[in-house]
Amino acid sequence: MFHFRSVRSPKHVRTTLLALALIAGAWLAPRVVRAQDTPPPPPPPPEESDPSGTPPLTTPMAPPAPGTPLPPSPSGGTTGGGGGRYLLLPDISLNGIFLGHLANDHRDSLRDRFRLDQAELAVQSYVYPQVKLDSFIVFAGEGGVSVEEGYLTFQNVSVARLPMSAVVGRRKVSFGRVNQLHPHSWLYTVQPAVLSSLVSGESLTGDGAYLSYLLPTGSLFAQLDLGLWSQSEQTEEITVPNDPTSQIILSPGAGFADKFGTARLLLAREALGGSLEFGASVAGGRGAQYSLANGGPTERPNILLLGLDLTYRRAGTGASRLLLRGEYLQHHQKDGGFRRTVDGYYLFADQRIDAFRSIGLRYDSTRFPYAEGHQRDISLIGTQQLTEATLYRIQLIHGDRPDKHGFDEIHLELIFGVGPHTHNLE
Amino acid sequence: MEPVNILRRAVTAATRLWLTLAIAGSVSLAHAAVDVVTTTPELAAITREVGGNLVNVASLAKPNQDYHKVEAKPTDVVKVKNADVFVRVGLDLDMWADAVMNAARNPKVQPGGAGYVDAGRLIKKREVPGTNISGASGDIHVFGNPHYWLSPGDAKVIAYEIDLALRTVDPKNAATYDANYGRFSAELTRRIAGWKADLAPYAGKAVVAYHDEWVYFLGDFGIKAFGYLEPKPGIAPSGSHISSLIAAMKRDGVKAVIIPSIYPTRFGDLVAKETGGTVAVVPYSVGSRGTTDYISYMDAIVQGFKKALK
Repeated sequence: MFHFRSVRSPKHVRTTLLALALIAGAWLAPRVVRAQDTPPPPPPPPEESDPSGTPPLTTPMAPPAPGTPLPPSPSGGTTGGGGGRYLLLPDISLNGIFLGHLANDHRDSLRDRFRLDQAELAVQSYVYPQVKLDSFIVFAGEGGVSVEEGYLTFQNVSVARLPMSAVVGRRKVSFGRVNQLHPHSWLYTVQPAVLSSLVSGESLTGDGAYLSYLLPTGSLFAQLDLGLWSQSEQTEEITVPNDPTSQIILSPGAGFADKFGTARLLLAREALGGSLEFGASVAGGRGAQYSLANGGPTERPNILLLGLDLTYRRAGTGASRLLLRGEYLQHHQKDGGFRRTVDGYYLFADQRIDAFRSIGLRYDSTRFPYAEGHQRDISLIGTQQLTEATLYRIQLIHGDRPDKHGFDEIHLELIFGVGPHTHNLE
Repeated sequence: MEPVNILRRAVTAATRLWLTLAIAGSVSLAHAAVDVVTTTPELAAITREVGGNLVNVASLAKPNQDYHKVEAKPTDVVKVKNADVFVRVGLDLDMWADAVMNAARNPKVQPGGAGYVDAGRLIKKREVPGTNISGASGDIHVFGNPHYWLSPGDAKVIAYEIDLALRTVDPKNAATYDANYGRFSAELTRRIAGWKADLAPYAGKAVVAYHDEWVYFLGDFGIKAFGYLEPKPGIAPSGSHISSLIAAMKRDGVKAVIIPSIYPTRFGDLVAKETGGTVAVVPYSVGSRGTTDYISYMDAIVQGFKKALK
């Protein structure tokens, strides 16, 4: 049986009272300070200010309560009626790409031609506070119209009490460093061979959703993206050439034929006078059935795509900027006893000399997931910018591929853009 | 040991721990600085004047980085995510910051939040387009010319906006911020008088500049803009434009050329050589050409104009 003493020595009483006083003091102190914190009235605006501007604040504005929906960004650059566009019109823009192509490979069907590659019509606007619509309709040069992307971004959602953003719709998936960029934003005309070979001819795109979470890691940027997708288009039949010299290998990319999932972690911090960014990506799903000359999967293989990327960029004087980037990818296929793993990488350096000119150098190396052989090439890229959205570019490529030893290509590109057009942070 | 003693010791230990944490928390709160992120070094410099040692300030754009061409980075997102106050130029100059703000998802510094400052809100805007503009007009800003921080008078308005935000997010130090703002504003008033005296002999004279960014400064000091090395804002200088500019300068006797430190000087040197004029390179940012704060920055600019106009 326990007995609490009903009578205490004066010392105990003083100690208890002191403890209670301290507790009460600690509890009350912030409130007293706050009561004394009522700020003096603000100073009058300077005579240089514009009296027709928004009236200055006269009382402190309370921060919004947690979970309170925020208004959309009002700047003209972020769509939603800014930029002097006061009507309820979305931001509408058009970007077009003309391509010229010279090659020493006679089998190249696009050889010695100058053509409209694609024109992209973008419609972007907020549809609700903190909910933004982005849609990109692409008119292909050879005919045909497709919705390249169409998605809603919920900029502030709470999942398990964690603040996140969510994207729902058709979207270039969050995988690798550049998959979400549109071709008119690329720093080259022809994308790295490893991306065409192991990921997609342009971008890995799906219908689905992903969540994006900014981890609370202090001064280290750490963002985790998790997505679930289904193929946005009918997967092309995978055909493997029996004679590699008969045609140029056009890889279908990752080869996901149905649903697939993606995860990406991007870390970044300031280092070496610039920004150092490291990314790790994974995508997994079922592929299409196909056959190889020496076997192949008996059923639809499970495909796992892994990627690591590292970027360093440093701003210089004026508009100059140095960018160094490397990306390594691995493509795994597994079906019963069938196993196949191929990999590849690229190394890229791009120096923006000033506001109008940049020069780049890139080395590509890749194998093919659905064909034998190895491609290696080196590119020299020069860009002349007329405006932010209008430029012309040349890319010279020399290399070896399974079907052509010593291929040379010259790619000429003219990109034009009109209208307000925005993309998320790269 | 009796359970009651265990209980008592546990309560005592918990109370001590709670008191320690509460006191440590109060102490750390008392010394916590307000984290401010600005888009440009000039806004950062003015924030330091108003905030003093009560604020930590970081600028997303580095000194001597073209503010039209800043590439937003993931590391910028972290700064904005942890910020109490975000100060931007606005007028569509720093639109690149929108992607950072969207990614940061910090409600305190989103538009409408207590810590969001559009420093151009109360500025008397100049060169607001009155006609239809397109790509043929060059890089025209639809809300007006955004280079208002180059007017020392407008720097007072910027400081006032920053004072309002700081006293809102940190009300217990409002009197300090107000005092700092008053001191900085008075210092500017005194300096402006001196700078006006320096440039008074050249009032009414004209200068050629690289980019159309001086309208606010020139308005303060009664100097005229004769032309620009860029044929249109943001469009690279061309041979034909430079030739016609040289001819016009010779005709009207204009000899002063002003080049901010981020731009190449070869076009300005050519123009000065052909016209017998003088090129003055002035700091583009606080932090370039040895400037350390807004006053030294503006002082270097005034001395540059004085040199070119002599």
